[in-house]
Amino acid sequence: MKHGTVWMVLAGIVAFVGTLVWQGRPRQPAQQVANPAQAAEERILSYNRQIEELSQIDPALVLYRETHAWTPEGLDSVTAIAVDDTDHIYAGGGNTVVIMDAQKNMLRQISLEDNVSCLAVDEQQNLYVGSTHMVYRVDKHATEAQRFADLGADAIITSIAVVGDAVFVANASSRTVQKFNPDGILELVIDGKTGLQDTTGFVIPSPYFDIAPGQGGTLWIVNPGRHRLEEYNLNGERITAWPEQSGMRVESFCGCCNPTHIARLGDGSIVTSEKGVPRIKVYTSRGRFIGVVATPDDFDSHDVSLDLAVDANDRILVADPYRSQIRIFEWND
Amino acid sequence: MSTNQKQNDVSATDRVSRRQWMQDALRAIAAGVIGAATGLMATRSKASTHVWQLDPTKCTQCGRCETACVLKPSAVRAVHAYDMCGYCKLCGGYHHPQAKRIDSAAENQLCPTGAIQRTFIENPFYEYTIIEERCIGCAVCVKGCSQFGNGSLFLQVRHDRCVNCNECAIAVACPADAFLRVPTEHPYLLKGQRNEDTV
Repeated sequence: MKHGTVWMVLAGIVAFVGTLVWQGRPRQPAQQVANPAQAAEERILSYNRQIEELSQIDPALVLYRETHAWTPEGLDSVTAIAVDDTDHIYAGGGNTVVIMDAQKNMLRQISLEDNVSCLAVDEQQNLYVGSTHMVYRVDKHATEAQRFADLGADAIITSIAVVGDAVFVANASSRTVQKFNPDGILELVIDGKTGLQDTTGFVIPSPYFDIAPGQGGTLWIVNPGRHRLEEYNLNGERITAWPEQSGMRVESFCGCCNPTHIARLGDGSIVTSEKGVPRIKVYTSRGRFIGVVATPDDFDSHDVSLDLAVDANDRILVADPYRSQIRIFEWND
Repeated sequence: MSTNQKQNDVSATDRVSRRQWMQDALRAIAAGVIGAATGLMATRSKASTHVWQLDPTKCTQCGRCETACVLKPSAVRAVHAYDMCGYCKLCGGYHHPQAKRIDSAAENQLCPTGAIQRTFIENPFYEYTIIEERCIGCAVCVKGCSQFGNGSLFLQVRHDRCVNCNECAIAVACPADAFLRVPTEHPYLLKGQRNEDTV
């Protein structure tokens, strides 16, 4: 046999053995699979971290501070609030409404057949109470409620606003705002549709549909599914709407249906409250973000519906149902 | 009597005895089977009077339903109460809290397995459907829906999967004490007005 042939055979044998050795070498274990329990926990923690990030607010943006908080006498919970021109405070919870003076002394207590969902007061201190599908009226100094308007068994009344002598009632069920005259006669239905530009109108994913009187005889209506505030004249024609886009930043609205409640300050600025990431903010009447009234840290639960009212001194009154308190926030000098 | 005759008689006696033994043995086996079946039925009927279920009002969405169950994937799945849903375009149970866009792109979805189907209904309403084969019961969608939405997504023990352990491993691990035994006639604790037959 030739030398070359021998070397070739030897090389073949060495290569063969080498291949066997290489293939049979101890190997690094495959990439370790994360502990499923840890992965699941991390998933929840990651979600919580994102919510915490959303809840972080620059302290420089917080323009108000809490000055008062109390549980009104006669109420087990506080879900609705209103203030009249004389700074009398009207608070509702359960099937009861209590009326207090500015020093928190109780003046009157009114009981209804059903639970109170919203309150509004006109310039003559007549009180309007929304309760499931019925609007009640309580005249000044009276202690008994009279039926004002029945919106039908399917109605879900979420808010009332009095502009001049017109009483506007928001119905989350029909996704409309209905305008009544002082005698409780229906005069107009606003559905938020503006012809071909907006054929959907108000988008109400949940029973949060707030309205408030605007400055100069207008009406602000929240379109919560669109994260938008819309201003209407008394004929139901839209004047303006903002913001143009929803978002996660502090100056925007996010979640399924925000803002949940609004109120108007003396200069026409709008106070808004949100759920999910509970916070209260102030905007100009044209939608420019001014600052924060209360941060998520001020509330004990993310699932709170914070009804708002503003008194003659532009103090912001908040109905906090989780704490069963009326809380007052004032401009931080 | 010859020796052969004696052997034949003994054999005959043995054959009878063996046949008898076989009969006795078969009787014993039959009795054993009947007894065991009766016992099994008694046990089964006792166990099936109640089954494990999760009270959605107590659930804190801790994530342990996914990992503590003896079944992989867990017998706990997300359920959707459509009559409570807002059909939102931006859904807290579907979209990441910090989603860049309000669409169905994977990076914007909250569910780790893509187990929620988003269907356009009419502007701006969308329907959300749980794809049960993909759901692992992690509760992240429930957490998002509870945080921002109406709470229409919730968890339930699915009895087409649950083996109804005497001691439910999830019940032991549950920090909210949300697991309880419910009658088999009403095995689900549903939100909304949804009928058990539709689950």
